[in-house]
Amino acid sequence: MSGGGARVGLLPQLLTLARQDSLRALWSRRAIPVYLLAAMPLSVLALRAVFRPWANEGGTGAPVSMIGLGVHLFMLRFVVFFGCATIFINLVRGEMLDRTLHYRLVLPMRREAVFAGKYLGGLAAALSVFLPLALGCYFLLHLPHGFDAMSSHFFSGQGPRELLGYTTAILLATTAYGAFFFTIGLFSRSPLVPVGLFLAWEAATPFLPPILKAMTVWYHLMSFNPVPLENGVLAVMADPTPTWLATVGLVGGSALLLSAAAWRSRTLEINYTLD
Amino acid sequence: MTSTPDTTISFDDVSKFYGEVLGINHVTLRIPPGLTGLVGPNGSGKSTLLNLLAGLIQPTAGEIHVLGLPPSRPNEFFRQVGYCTQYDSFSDGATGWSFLLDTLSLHGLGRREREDRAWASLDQVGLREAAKRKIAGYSKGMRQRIKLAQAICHDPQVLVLDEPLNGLDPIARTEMIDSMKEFASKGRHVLVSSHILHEVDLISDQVILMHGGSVVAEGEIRSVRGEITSHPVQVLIRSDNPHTIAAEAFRLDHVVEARILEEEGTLLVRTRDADAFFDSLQTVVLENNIEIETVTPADDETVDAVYEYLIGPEGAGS
Repeated sequence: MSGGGARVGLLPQLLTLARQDSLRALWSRRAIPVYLLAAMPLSVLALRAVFRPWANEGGTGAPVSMIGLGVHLFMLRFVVFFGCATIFINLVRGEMLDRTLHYRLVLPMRREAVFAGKYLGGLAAALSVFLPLALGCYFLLHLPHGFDAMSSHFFSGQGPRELLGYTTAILLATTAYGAFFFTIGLFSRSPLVPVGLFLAWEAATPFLPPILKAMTVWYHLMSFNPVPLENGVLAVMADPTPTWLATVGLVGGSALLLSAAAWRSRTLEINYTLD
Repeated sequence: MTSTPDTTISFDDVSKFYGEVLGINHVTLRIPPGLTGLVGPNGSGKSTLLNLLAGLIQPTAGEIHVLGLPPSRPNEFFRQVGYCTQYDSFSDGATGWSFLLDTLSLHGLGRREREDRAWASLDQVGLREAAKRKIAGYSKGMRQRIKLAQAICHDPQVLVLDEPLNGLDPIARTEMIDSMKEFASKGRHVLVSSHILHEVDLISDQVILMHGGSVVAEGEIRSVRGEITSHPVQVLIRSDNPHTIAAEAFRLDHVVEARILEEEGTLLVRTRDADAFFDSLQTVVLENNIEIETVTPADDETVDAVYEYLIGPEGAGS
C-alpha cells in the first residue's frame, strides 16, 4: 500500500507520541537541570538523615511541620516550578532550538493532537520525577526517627493522609505549571521574561488581595496542605478554598491554557533560522 | 461520473512574507510527477517554497495542494508526503533504527509492518548495517541518508528534499542521487532543492529556477532555455563556406550576430529562435551546396547557462 499506513484512532497516536516525548524529556541532555533540581532536596535530607540532628526530638512532630513548609517552599515553589519550566518549555522551544520539531509536524496528525501528546508526555516525565522525589523526601525526613516511629506514623498515624495531600498538590502543581510553561513555549521565543513574571506573581501570593490570590496556582495548592503552616510571610490572608474547588480551579485553568496552546499550534510556523 | 485524481503539486498565486521581508512572491506552479529540481542562490526562496509545501509555514496569500490535498489536512496529507529538511538534527541518543520506528509508530503501523518498512527503507538507502548505531556517530552522508529513509519509510507519493546533497562526498552524492531517481522512477514526485546548479541539471526531469522570491523559469531544461527569447542561443557551425552562411544569416530577423571566428571555417551565430535558424540553415546549405562539418550549441544547455542568462552571472555563481 502506498501513502503510508493504516488509519488508526487518535488515542493510540496520542499515547505513542506522549510516550516518545516523555522518554525524550527524561533521557536528553536537557533533562540534566531537572535531575539537579531533584537532587537538591534529596541530598539535603540524606545528609540530615546521616547526621540525625533531630533524632532525639519529640517523635515525628518536628518533621511533620517541617515537611509542610518544605513541600510548599522548596518542592512546589522551587523544584516543581523550575522543573516544570525546564521540561515543558523544552517540549516546544527546546525542539525548536534543536531543530527537531518539524519531525512532529509532518506526521499524519492534527496539530492539536500533536501538541496534546507532547503535553501529556511532559506531564508523564515530570510526574515520574516529582512523585518519587516527594516520596523519597518524605521517607528521608522520617528516617532519622527510626523505623518504629516511621511505621507507626505511616500505618497508624497521619502518614497516608499527609502523603495523599502532598502527592495531590504535586500532581496538580505539575498539571498547572506544566500547562502554563507549555503554552509559554508555544507563544514566546524568549520564555525567560514570562517565566520571571510568573515567578514574581506566584511569590507575591501571600500579599495579594483575596480575589487576586485566587488567580495564583500556589494559593490553590495550599488547600491540599495537610499541615497548617505557621503565619508569617507565608501566611495566606484568605481562607483556603475547598479542595474540590481548588482542583476544579487548577484543572480548569490548565484546560484554558491548553486551549490557547491548541489554538496557537494551528498557526505555529517552523522557521529555525529565526529561532 | 468519476473525477481524475490530481497528480500534481500546485501553487496558486502563493506569497509569503516574514513581517516585511519577502519569502516568495506570487508563485504559481503546476508540478507533474518526476524528479523536479528547485534551484536558486541562497535566499532565493527555495526553502520557503518547500516549507510552505510541507505545511511548516503558512502562506500569506494563495493556496497549495499536493495531489489535491492541502497541508491543512495533515491526517491525509502526510500519508502522501515525505519531507526531509536541510538541517542535520536528531533527538539525543537516537539510533537509525529507533528514528525510523518512532516515525512509523506514529503513522499507526503495527509492530511487524513497522519493522518490515524500517528495514526496507534502510536497505533502500544502504544503512542496514548501521541501523542500530547512534546517529550521532554517523558520517554526514549517513545522516543525510537516514533522513531520506525517514522521509520515505511510510511509502509516500511525494518526497520533498531540502538541500539533500549538501556536504556529501562524491560517493555519498551518487548514492543519494540513485535513491532519489529510483523513487521518482515509480511515477512519484521528488522535489529537490539545491543551490548547486549543475547538480540539479544532472538529476532533474524538470527545473524550477528561483530568484528573489520569484520563479524566473520552470519546465524541462531545454524548454526553459528555449523560452528565454531575450537571450540569444549561440550556435557554432563548421563548414567549407562560412561567409555564405553568415550573409544569409544576417537576413534573418531573429539572428542578432554572425561572426566568423579565427578557427578556420567556423561561424558563430547568435539567434533568438534556434528552431527557425536551423530550418533556414538547412535551406541555405542545400541551395548553396555547402558542406557542413558540425553544428553545435556554443553554450551548453546546462542549467548553469540558463540561470546565468536569467539572473546574471552573480546569481548563477552564488
